[in-house]
Amino acid sequence: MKFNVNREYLSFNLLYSLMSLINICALILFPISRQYPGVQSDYSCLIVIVCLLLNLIVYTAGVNYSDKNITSIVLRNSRLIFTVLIVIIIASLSVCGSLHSFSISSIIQIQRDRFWHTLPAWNILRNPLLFLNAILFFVYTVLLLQLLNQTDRPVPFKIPHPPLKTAGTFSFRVLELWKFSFLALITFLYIFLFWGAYLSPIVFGVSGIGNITAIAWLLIKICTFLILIRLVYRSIPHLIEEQILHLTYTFIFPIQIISLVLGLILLRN
Amino acid sequence: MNSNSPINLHYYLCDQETLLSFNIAYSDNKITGIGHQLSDQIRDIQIITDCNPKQPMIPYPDIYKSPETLDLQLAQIMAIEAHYRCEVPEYARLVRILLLEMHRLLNHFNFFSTLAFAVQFPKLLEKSVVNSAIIRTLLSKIDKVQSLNKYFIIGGIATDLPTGFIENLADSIQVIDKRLGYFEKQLIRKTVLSNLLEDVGIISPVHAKTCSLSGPNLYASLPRTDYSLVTASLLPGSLHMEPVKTDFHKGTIGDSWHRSWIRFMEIEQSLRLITQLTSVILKTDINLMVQPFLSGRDSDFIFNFNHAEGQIISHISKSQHNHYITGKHQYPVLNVIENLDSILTGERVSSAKIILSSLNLNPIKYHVR
Repeated sequence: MKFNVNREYLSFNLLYSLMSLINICALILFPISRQYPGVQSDYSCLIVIVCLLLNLIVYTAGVNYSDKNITSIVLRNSRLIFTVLIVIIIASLSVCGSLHSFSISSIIQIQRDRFWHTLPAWNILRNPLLFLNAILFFVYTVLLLQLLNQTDRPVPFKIPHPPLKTAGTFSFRVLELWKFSFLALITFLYIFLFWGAYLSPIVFGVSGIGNITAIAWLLIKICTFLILIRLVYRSIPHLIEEQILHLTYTFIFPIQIISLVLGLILLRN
Repeated sequence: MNSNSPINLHYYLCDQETLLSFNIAYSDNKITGIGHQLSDQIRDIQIITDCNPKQPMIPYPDIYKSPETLDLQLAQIMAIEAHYRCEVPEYARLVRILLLEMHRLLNHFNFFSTLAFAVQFPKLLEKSVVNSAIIRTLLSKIDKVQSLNKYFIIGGIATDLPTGFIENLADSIQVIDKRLGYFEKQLIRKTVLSNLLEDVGIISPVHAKTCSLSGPNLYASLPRTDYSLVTASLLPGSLHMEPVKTDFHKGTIGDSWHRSWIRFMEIEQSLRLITQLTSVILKTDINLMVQPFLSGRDSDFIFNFNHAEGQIISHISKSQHNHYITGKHQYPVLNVIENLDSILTGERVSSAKIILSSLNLNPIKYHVR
């Protein structure tokens, strides 16, 4: 029995540590300035989307190493995380479909333009369909945060105890690292697809934006996004599964499919 | 129908330490039964009163560490006074009502804390905890002067309120009143919280009476009712109190929303009453107690005391051969625990914690060994 517990303990930690590493490595697909373009790939956006789905598989597989009594809860949670991820992925694909590119670098390049020489040509401002998808991406990131934080004790009054029974606090920290890397990946995806990545909203001269300024603008956008996420997360209770499923499959999913199709038709025309 | 292995539900009370464990059996996403081991652990809460009013109650060590059992102590004292027809001066009666209303506020804010806990709503939790902390701080000021365990005595109160207490209380009430707008918005408007609470855990009027529910859990199930927080016999003539009117509805009568709404309205009513009391107390002559006379005969009787969560049933007994009066008390939460199965059966699995929170199981921790 002791040998089995140790093996499960090691497998659990290995699985989540590996996934955290994959998430962090996926961040190198995102360029942080003109001089640091990251790993260039024509399908970088698709690779990130595959990483997101891989996280879900790891989360569901992790249940095998947890307390068997809460298996059904975690499986139900996995179904919900899948639902939330589908909306996020369709929102991401709508950008790729509208701009006819899966390359993150190309998507940033397109956002360098200006609307009427003043407004930045970020995808959130490009057309109403992308604006809608940006809002949905944001809202569903909040829902994802709620689902990943299903604990018995809410912060900040007590330290939340781990939802999965583990051999000790080390596994809890591995789990938290995984959650952090997962959310970092989603944050980067959102900022790069909709908010112009490291591009400044202020008009600069012909020479463009320097490296330090670019990184600074990227950090400002990430911090603003995280603060807004935190504010919204605190202001609403956790939605139950019926609410999420009803909202998604009755309203959001059909709207997204229609917007995706319309985006492709508009692009074709 | 698909039935699945039971879910082990961890339910924390408002102190974030007491954990109640429930096993929920479900099929096709509907609860078919709820199991717990509380019935084996429950005991009556015992209070012993020394008949010499200068040396009031000997505290039962496990329980009397918090102001949350203030109502039981007063229930015992009032039971004895009613039985032996003891007089209580008006000043003492006003102070007792004041402390009872503060206890009601504490109880209801603990209710909202537990609810916010259950639905993991950080902002509401923060506001509820802050409000209950304000009340606790005020009660701790009295505790420093005279232990709250020994504050109520037969015939009156042990000591006067501390200097500046009424002024502090009036300021604190204003602060709490300003914060109530958030609670009202969350319940009245079309919010995620009100959506979570509506149409779940519906208890019909007949079912409520069958389960012997009382207090807010009962009033929430009645179609329309006007009731008073404090019975008229306890109020001096100088105080006027409007009844609590349940004339605003959402969802279905008897659901979790109504149980939350009733408690919110009681909070509002309680704040108005406390505001009246603070001005009346300052104008009343200080008279702490009237020396009681208790006959030496045997006594054994049941006394019902209505307070924040409903009817507290007290069994009071005294033997003529000793000086002590023993009271065994039951909070109305015991009726809720006994009937949990019938209340939750047929409800969605995901609404289990919401329904448990709406019934307010907080007082159970004083009954459990």
